[in-house]
Amino acid sequence: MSENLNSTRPNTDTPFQQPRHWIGTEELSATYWSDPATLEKRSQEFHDKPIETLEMIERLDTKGIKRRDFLTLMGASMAMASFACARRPVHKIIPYVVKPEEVTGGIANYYATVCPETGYGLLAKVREGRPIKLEGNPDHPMNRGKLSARNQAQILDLYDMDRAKEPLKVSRGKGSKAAKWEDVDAEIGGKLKTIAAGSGRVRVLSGRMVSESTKRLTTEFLAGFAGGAHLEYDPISLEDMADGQAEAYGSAIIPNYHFDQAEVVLSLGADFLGSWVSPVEFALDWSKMRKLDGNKAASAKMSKLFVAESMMTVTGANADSRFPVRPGDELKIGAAIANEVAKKKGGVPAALASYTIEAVSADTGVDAKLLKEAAEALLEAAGKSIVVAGGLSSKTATAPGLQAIANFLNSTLGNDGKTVDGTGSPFTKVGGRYADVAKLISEMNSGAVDALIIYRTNPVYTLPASTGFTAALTRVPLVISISDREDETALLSDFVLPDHHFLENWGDAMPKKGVVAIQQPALAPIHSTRSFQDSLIALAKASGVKTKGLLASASATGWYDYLRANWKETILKGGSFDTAWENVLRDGIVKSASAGSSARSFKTSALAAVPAFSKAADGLVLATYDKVGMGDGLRANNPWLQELPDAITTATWDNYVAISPKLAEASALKSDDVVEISNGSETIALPVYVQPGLHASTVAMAIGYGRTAAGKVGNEVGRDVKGFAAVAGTRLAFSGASVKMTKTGRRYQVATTQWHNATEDRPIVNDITLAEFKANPKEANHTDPHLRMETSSIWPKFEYKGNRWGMSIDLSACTGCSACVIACQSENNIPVVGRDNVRKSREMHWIRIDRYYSGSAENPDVVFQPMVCQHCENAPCETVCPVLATIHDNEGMNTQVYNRCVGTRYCQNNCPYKVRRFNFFDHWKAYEGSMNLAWNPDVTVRSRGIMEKCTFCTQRIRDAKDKAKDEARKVLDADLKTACQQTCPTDAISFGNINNPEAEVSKLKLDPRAFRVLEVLNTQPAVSYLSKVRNKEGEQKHHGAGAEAGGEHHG
Amino acid sequence: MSKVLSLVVGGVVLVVVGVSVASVLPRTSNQGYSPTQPIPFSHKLHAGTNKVPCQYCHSDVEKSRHASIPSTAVCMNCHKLVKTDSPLIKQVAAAWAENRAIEWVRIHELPDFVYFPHKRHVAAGVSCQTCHGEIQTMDKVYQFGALTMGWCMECHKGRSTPSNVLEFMEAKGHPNGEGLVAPIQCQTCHY
Repeated sequence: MSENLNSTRPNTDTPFQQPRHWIGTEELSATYWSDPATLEKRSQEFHDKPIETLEMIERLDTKGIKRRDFLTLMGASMAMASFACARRPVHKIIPYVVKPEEVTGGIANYYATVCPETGYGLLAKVREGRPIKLEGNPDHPMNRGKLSARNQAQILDLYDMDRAKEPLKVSRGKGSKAAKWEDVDAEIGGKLKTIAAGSGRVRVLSGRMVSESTKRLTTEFLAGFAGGAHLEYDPISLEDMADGQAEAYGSAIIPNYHFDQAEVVLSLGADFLGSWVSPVEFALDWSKMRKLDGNKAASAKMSKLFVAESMMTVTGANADSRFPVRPGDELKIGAAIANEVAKKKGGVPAALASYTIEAVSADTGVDAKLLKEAAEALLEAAGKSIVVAGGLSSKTATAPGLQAIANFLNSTLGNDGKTVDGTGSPFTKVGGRYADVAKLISEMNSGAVDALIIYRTNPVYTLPASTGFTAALTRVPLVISISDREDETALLSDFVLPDHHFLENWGDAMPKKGVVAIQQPALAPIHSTRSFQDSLIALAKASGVKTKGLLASASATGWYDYLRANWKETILKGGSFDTAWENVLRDGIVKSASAGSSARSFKTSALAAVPAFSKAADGLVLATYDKVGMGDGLRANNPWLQELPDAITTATWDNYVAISPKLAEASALKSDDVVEISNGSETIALPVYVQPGLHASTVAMAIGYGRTAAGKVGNEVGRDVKGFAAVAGTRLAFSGASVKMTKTGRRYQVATTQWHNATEDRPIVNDITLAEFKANPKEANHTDPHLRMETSSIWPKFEYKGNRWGMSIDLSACTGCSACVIACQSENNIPVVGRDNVRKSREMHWIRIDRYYSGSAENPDVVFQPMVCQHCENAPCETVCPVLATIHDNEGMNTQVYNRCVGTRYCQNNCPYKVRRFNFFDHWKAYEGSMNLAWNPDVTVRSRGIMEKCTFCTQRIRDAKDKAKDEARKVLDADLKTACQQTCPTDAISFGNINNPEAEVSKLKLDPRAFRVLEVLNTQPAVSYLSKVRNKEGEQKHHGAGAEAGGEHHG
Repeated sequence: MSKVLSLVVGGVVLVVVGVSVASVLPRTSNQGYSPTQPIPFSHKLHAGTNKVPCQYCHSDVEKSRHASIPSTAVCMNCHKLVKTDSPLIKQVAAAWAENRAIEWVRIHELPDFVYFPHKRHVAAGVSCQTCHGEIQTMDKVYQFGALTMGWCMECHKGRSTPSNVLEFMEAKGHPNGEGLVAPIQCQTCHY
């Protein structure tokens, strides 16, 4: 076949035509394709030298062995190997002294518990007493068995080497020394006793607390002090939403959104599929309205998603219609749509009168037609639509107005009480407000705080310096930090009382009204740590203060007893407590019927928060946002999350300044050019990342980076951008600052995976519109007419007598949330390689999310394609392996035999999908001490020089077969789920036996929408994809359309 | 003459080099390995003379990949009463009293990239003795089988398979066909 047939590379004979799908904006220029250097770069499998010669900031992960050292080591280790192995090392077997009844060596136990941050139900997989993997609890009504990338990564935090391992006495930034629990208790107890005898102004500052029992304990502890108070503060605060709800409806809650009943969704800045409020739950519900059956295409229905946002998030990437705006202009878009909706629904309120579609369109640059379309869609789906607003990037000075508009729309459309549930089971734990913190700071400054106990929040890092928290802290006579590590705040305290990881602790979580889950430990504490709750109990005892309630009663000798007593009194009232308690421990959740919801009346006065329409000023506006992986940065020491490629930018290990292609061009900037961003008082230098789909005035940077006391992994990764947040009224405005951008002339390579694993420019992904799908569902697999080839083989086909494993991935359902990447990493012992190795294209993830753009660079469409080993029937890797280390098995799997592999990398070179990963180093050696407990003992830990790739979780298949053999039956699909499939919040991945026509995966493979990647190569993958369908009118212009004309001369 | 001499010298050098290389090359099997244990536990006395069933101590062999080494508490089940004054039993009792694990020396060991399930083999009727030898006669246990891959394959391919196992697999209808007794896919054991 000719080059032209299987390449998206533009034909140089004809006028330049942009590729149908593109990865970066570079590909949209004709000169790019005629530049031999770039084409050379694209063909490289590994970038042994950095792609360009760039100034690199030397940091921790450059400790990678240099070439000369490497050769020396090689020589030495060969010599050692030949002697050392002559006699096998003596290994010991150390049995239990008394084996716990529930432990069987080699068999995992699962314990139901709950994440104390999100309130999601978890199952901790425990092998011989150590948790090795987290999975969602299928019985939990929120996450229903699914987890996010961040939840999946929590297991590694447990084994973090930089956890505080014993109590510390800290001298306020001048070092710390280890102490004994009884000594610190006595010392603090004495001080608290004196404070209690005086004015008793003790403050507990915590993060968002979803545990009722912990709240009660904290309150009862503080009752012992006359001036005691508890306040909560979360860096990613929901205060704007809670306040907006209170203004509009009277109570400060976050409604429960039923995305599974919403035909139209309008998001004003809220990244509800990625990081906003409860993303796993929302994504699962949302995807239910996006699933299509190719056999019923004519009557197909799917929900429609409109998104107005400043930074591109995974929610925006999944939008059917997306409006890139300046930070803060989400309000204008919302107001214009509300204005249009109100016109048809009984009159426009005065507050919205000036926000006409025409005025807003002219000001924001969003096509008036699209805004009208959104308004009409919402009106049409009145009562079956949802408007959500919020998120860090829209948290400007006008955030309260934005909330008012969202609430107004939901009430006007009649969504409130139906898709928006504010009374049945809303989120009740909304965290604290900045106003409380501001008050605390002023009290601290005036010497009105005697003691401050800080629990699992890190205000010194998360609050901007301008708030004066750090300075105020020096005025507090006693500061106790109850944290999992010696973080930025702990360093400036007097005592660090190290907290348990949540898998070591008891607790409970009530994130929503009616959702009550129990947190039970999955292992005994690894270090000499003590839970926050036990610390409070111990301090209450040591100080001898007169507490209240349960804490004062004699039965509460420890947190476990306290928790049980509280449950006996409040949740499991009546009946046999012990039986009920055992049941809850087993299920992890108190099952209760969900409450119905009713509409609330909207107070029009809430709209007073909407400012009068004013034209946007010239200049650049800053948006800060939280990444799906990194979030607020409290988990920055987690190497899995640091190395997780951002779904949109594909960047790892750093944050950067995202700007639009237009702004980049106007400022003569390229990706990786270092710029200085300044708002006058705060200046920061970060590399540029040219991000399609941003408004030309937007400058976006992620929070959660630039930690200084996170630990070895997270310290000084990226830059801390919270300094740009400013106090606006009673809130912190994280976005909306007017900034200047200055080119520095320096360059810094952000470790992105964007150009890695290029597929020789062959078209590999497919998307169509709903209109096209309805007209002809088969359209969906016409990636390129020339790729649909009838093939023949001179070899007889292998007959699969038993199982034949296959997978199907629905590109319409995949949101790009990356939970599968971390789930796979946890399940399959996939190492972390560090920034420099990612730069060289040596990342090890077995499943990656390829992201493609189509359309214009100003506002492109996005499609995510999870890419795993395709387990080709005619696998190109197998034919080139000189040692038969990769071969086909009798169940259709392409197997990689580590012990045969000699590391020629021929297979990797020959894989058209670029899914094979090579161990350039013994990456496992970077796992020190307790980190080694995180390995999955059912999967070999690979050493240097070994090729590896997705195995379809063969160890899980083996477990399922074992179970089936015990029961003398065949393996059923219900017996096993691959790690990626198990955690996928939208059920985009199906896996099973394709020899069984009844299996879900077999049916999906026959769907008219199914296509296989690079079918022209006749590799016959066992993985098939379902084309992405967007709820749009008209046609998605096909790559094939252009090539078809070209194809004429070949035909 | 010098040619002959150089051939002889060359030959001698080759032999010397060959022997010394062979002597330091990694050994693939530990067959016959019989280390001294911290407490000289006799399988002959327990499993042979006193006929304690293997699974009394190796209780996970039917449930798990691992046969399991008994916890000290299992020893004490009997030895709280039996032979309590023996100096060796006193060592066990002392360890138990101190909550200290006894560190046995591992004899049978497969490389890290091999996953061998005891459970499936026992379920197919493979006796302990097939792989571990006449364990009930061993005062001091040694590694009976080669535990190399070729040794495993002999049985999986039906060449050294015990007759009762052959019958069992035949009754199941030989799911693997081609005269195989058990699967020989790489992924059966390596993943």
